[in-house]
Amino acid sequence: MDVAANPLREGLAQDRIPDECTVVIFGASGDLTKRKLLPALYSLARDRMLTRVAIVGFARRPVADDAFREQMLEGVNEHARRRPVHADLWKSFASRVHYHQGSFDNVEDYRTLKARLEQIERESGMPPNRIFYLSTPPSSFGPIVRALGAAGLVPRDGQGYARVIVEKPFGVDYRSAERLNAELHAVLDEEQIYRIDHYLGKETVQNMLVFRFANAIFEPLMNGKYVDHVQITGAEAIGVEGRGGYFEEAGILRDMVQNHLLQVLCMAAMEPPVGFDAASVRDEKTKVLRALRPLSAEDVRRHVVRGQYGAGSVLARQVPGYREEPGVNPASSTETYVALEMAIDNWRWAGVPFFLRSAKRMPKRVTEVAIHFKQAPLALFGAAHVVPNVLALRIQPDEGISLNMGSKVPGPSVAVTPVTMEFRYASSFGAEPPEAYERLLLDCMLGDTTLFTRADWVLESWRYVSRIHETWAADRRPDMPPYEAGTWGPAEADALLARTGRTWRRP
Amino acid sequence: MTATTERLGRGEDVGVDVAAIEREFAALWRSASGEAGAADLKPVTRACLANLVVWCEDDAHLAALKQAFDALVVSVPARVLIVKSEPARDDAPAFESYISANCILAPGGGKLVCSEEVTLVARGDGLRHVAAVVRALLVANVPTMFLLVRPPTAGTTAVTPLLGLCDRLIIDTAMLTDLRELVRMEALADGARQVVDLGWLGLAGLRSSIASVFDHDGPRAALGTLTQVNLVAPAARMAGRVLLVAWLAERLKWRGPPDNLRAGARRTSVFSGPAGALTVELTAVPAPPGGAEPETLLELVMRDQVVRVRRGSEPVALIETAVGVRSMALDPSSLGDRVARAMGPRAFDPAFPRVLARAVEMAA
Repeated sequence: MDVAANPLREGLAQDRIPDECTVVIFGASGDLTKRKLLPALYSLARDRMLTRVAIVGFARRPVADDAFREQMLEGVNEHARRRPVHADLWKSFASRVHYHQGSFDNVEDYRTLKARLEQIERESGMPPNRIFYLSTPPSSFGPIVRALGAAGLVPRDGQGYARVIVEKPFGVDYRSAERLNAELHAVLDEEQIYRIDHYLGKETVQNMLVFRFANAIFEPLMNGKYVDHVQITGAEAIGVEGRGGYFEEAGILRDMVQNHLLQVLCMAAMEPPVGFDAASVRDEKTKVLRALRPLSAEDVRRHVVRGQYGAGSVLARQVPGYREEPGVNPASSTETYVALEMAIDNWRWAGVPFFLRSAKRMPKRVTEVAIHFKQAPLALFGAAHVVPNVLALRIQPDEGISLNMGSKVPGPSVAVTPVTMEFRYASSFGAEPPEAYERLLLDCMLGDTTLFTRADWVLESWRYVSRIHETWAADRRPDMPPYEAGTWGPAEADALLARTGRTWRRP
Repeated sequence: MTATTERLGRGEDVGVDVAAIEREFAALWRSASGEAGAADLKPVTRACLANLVVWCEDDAHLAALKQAFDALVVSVPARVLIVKSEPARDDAPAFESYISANCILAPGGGKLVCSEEVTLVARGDGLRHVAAVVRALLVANVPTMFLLVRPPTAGTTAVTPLLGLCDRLIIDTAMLTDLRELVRMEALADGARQVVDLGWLGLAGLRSSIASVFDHDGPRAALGTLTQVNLVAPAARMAGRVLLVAWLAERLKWRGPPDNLRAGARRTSVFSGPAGALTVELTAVPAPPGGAEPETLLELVMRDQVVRVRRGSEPVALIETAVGVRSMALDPSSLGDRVARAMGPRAFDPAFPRVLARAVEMAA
């Protein structure tokens, strides 16, 4: 099948139609399958973005095909972007949804899976194009990929393709990520591995590149000559939401910073790629991480602040402190807040501090990059009338871009007041953007790795983050300032910026 | 706050002298921001991504359009200039103008975002002033769209200068009731820089459903053996639906112009296709009185197989091929949604004028 050769496709909005394929979801009984993956695949089919896709859920529990379809229909009804679900369409879609019982570490179960896939493909006339989605604990990634190889599910005969999507977290530190890469590379080529970070599927994250590199007026200002500093915020209003056990092991640095926020940092700071292809974009992102100034133990103590939320009020609701959450050690030293002052030692960003913070139980959910420009060289209207220009790229919610500037207040005297020019994604385009998982699943089907994380990027990110963890582990008395839930973090984080004469933006 | 701005704030149409339109709008924005020097001075965002000039000839149509434009401010805030053409009357002036404002609270930030609407009523001799007034009222530095859903009934004299002012002509072939109107519309569209058709946008789902049949190599090869295409459509929709066949003719490079025959509700056009003579039959089916609209059926007859695509009143396409029947969802959308899409950058299909020309070949 060669969709591109279809003369009737030309000019249609659905110009990126992938070949037919089968998606095998490992850990199909988990929440992600029901809440995100099946709804995303249904919405893609609903929008006529897929010609045909078969889905096989793989998990330990015995579940009949029909029962699995019922469970998935519940998820689609509740979470799909395209609702209500149309009965005829679901019937057509669900006829290719199957379930296969098996254990992640039993090769025999993979051999029966292979036979099942061959049967599905034979009966429906579909090619042996297979995507294996690892929605499992990270400890299962290696065993599953080994078993896929052993069962002959990663053929190299040019008939169809085998691609593996790996959910985060990809390792817990530099060494574990290196080991995991080696385990995957023993069976798969790097081009077959799709390390997913759903932040990269968000339209507004992708729009950062368009904004920077399709508009000639901003990019010349994006450097140390004009930019004073950059603040990146990834704040959540929620707490650990029943994932206390997981979060105890991870902490906010692993959960948010190592992946999502460093990706956002790279998008904000990278050089223009030579082309908008996977290799060029991923090369430039990795160069940013390589240019991050390494942190010594003393740097970590001086430039990294962590904290842990106590009880408080968030969005008019009284919430418990972190140590009172289910599954959390009452004497826990896991950080729920982290703020970092980072330096990018390259030509463009030398001397421009990047302040990055991420936390749970903040006053509201917001992810944004705020570029604070230097002040005008002369305070012509008086020091009281200096308004710093801030270009804010809002990733979620209310995705958009705003630019603060000073304007004269109407009247006989000169008074300058800040005004904002805003572009809001939601109100500027009639079309509803696809969910991040829709975009990423479609890209995987198309073999486009641009929005997935490459092995070297993962290692570089862990190289930076692991130094912080190592310092914290070595410090006998963890410095863990508390902050009240519903506030913007501990006073120490304010002091981090105050030392440089700056303050955190209130997003 | 003036009486005019108070009424505008309530969303009413306010009659104003044409020379005072900009002044009245400026007063509205000032008053909406609060009194000068007041502590609660709060800027209102006046949003304008485009000018939208609209040609309209009857009240029912105008009411439907106004409702659509209320929704437009959310996605493509525009200065809307409605030109209402009416027959000359002794008891009414040749030219009148009204202004109103559409405001919404922006999601999240709670800011008031407003766009502007001007209605120009021209009667008889007043039509000759239209182009000059529109020219004066266009907001600078944003594109200008011209929504002309049907060809004007009283000739094109007043419309032609407006076409020259606009970057994009937006038509609606779904509103055309017979093929002769399609021919007239194509002639008008010939003078536009860009043409976007709301009817063509509405057919996108059906087109992609048809295209999906030919993603596979086998059916695609069979396209080369196509000998007959049958289109059965409600009579009132034939002018719009014929674009489906014209699209096939354009994409599959059938050679024309075709030989056309007409017998009652059936039209036959014979093209030169890849497998020799290729016959297109268009059959218009009248809607039963008070009954449901008849379905549209497109039938592609190839040497060894027949593909049928049906679309009834439900927004679903049923595709019958040799391997079975499958359903594909279509996208029902409101007039406001379609106009918003038509104003966007993705709506322009450079192939559409060629498709329209192909349709006119069959309608001639």
